[in-house]
Amino acid sequence: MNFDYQNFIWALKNSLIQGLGTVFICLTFGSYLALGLMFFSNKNQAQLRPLCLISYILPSLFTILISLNSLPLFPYGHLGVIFIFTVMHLGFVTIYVAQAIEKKIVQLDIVSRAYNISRFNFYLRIFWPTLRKDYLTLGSIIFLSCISSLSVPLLAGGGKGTNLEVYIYEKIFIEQSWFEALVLSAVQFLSLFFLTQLVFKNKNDPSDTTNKIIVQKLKSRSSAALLLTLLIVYIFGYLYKVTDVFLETNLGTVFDADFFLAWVNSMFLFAGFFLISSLLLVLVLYQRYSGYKTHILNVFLYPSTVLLGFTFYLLLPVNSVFFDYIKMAFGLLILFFAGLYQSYVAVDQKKLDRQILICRVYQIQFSGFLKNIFWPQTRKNILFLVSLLYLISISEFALFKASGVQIQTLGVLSELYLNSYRMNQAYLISFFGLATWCLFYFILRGIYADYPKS
Amino acid sequence: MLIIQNLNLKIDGFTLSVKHLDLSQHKVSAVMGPSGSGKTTLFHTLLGLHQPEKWSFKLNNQEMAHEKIEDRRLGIVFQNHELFPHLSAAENIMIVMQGRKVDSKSDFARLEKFKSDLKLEFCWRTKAENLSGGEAQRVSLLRALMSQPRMLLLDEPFSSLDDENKKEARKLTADLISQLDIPTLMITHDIEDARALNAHIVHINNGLII
Repeated sequence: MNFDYQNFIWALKNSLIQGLGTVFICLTFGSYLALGLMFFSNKNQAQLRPLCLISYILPSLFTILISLNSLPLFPYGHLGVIFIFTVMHLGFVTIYVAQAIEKKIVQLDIVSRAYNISRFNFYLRIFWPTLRKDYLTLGSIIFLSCISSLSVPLLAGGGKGTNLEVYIYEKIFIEQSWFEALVLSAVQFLSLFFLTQLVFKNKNDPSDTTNKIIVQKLKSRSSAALLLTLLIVYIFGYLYKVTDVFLETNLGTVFDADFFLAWVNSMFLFAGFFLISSLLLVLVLYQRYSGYKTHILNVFLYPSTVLLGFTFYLLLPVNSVFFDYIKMAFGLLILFFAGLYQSYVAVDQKKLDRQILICRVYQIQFSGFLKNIFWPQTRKNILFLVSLLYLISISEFALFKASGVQIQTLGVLSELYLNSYRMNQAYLISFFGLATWCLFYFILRGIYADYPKS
Repeated sequence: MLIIQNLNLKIDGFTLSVKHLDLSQHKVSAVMGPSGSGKTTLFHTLLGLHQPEKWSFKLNNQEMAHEKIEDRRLGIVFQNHELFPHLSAAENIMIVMQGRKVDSKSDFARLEKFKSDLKLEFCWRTKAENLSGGEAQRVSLLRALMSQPRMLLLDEPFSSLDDENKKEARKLTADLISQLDIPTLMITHDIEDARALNAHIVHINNGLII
């Protein structure tokens, strides 16, 4: 039982380079863009925020495709991986930092100016100490997200950008070196587990404070222009590419029998994923209703894709279509549920807990809480979340590779096209995914817009 | 009405200790103390959010210490009122009456009377998120009263109101409590609240009743 320390250290080093590099670029550049976001009126900010968050919300396949398109010659390796990770997280960082500045710093800035405190002293002794915890939390979130990602380094890492996730994947599926894979998985699991605990135990929420005054001097016109430029390049660059591909590709070669079979498979997966997600959501809410904490979910905020796939590969039968669907539905649940729950359901944990308390005090049953209190207030978010389950189901590919599953979904098909340099096909499939996602979401909104009638 | 014995609770380095507190001779009591004295911890414990061991909490000779929150049948008014924001004032009250199965004709007649007493006719169909502070406070009080509680627990019920609203709210609350004869325990740091409700005052500091 040999253990290749040299390559392990190399992969670990790559993980750190990619993670820390992304953290550094996102935090510095994102802070600058945050000043640009603050330049806009509250109304315009509200419209810009969802655009900034697109790359953070969309599954990685879409960001990979958009990133590949945005550079004339894509630098595979560390630079490419860091570039994609940066595209993924930059909008999120921008919004988070802007919120933190508006709520914590602005009033202090007024005081500093009133007492003639120099700009240098302001940034060194007021700005940084006040926002240090926010930056630490933000940096940790980005770092965790990067080192637990398999899809990005798998597609953009090349040989030089192999991180620990890809290294474990290669040990399992290429070298079939089980002992090494187990040891590496244990290292990866423990690192992610302890880091997640550390981050979410002391999570610093920028919405804790309430100051909403905005001061002119903290805004930046140039970064506002840059922010708009980036958004335009990001969104219109992709649309331009897709239009171009539409015109020069024979659509029959893309939307063929394989494509429709892959879509049907994706829909089956979505049905299973939706069903078990709904059940788990009700169970989690029931836990909260019963007065139990649901901190356990934090453990699953940044799970390792390869570790999960490996576990399924070892524990469940292979070459069984039924078990492949089971594996994937539960796999997606473990990979995404906790993050989606935190982002769309329990956005305001304190408010949710207070409302549950009132329900319990006044003997409003759990079913009544769900129907009359929870659903009317979270309906929009839940519908968006359901549509995201669809988008994830049709675009995930890394988990399929990591668990040796043979089902061909749209995500797997796209990855196949990407790996064989048939980029046009991949772009068309991604656009089909996004278009059907929008359609699906608006249909859901149409059906449930006023349900139940108030 | 209320007797607490052997309450010992340690939370995050803070200890609440009430060996014996007998409020059975007083219809309305007010627990007063500075910030961090243990008022809220006591309130949460009576509500059922904390579960100390081997303590006794008797209300009209009925042991409640180990009952679940939903079985204690309390009426509560929080500092921030805690109405369901998406429901109207009327719906906030109806949903509680349904939960507690308070649905007789006389109950609805009472509701109409209190609605009028509390001057809630004009905001009856307004969503809670659009109510003024004073209106929200009165809806929260009516919700508590209509739930047919064994006891009312008020947590700084007037502190979020301006002076004008505070005066009126204190008067309305005092009138209704005396009409309904419901045992009431109020947490407050404002002596005027206690005076307005003609409450027996208990002081708390560092987790100890003094």
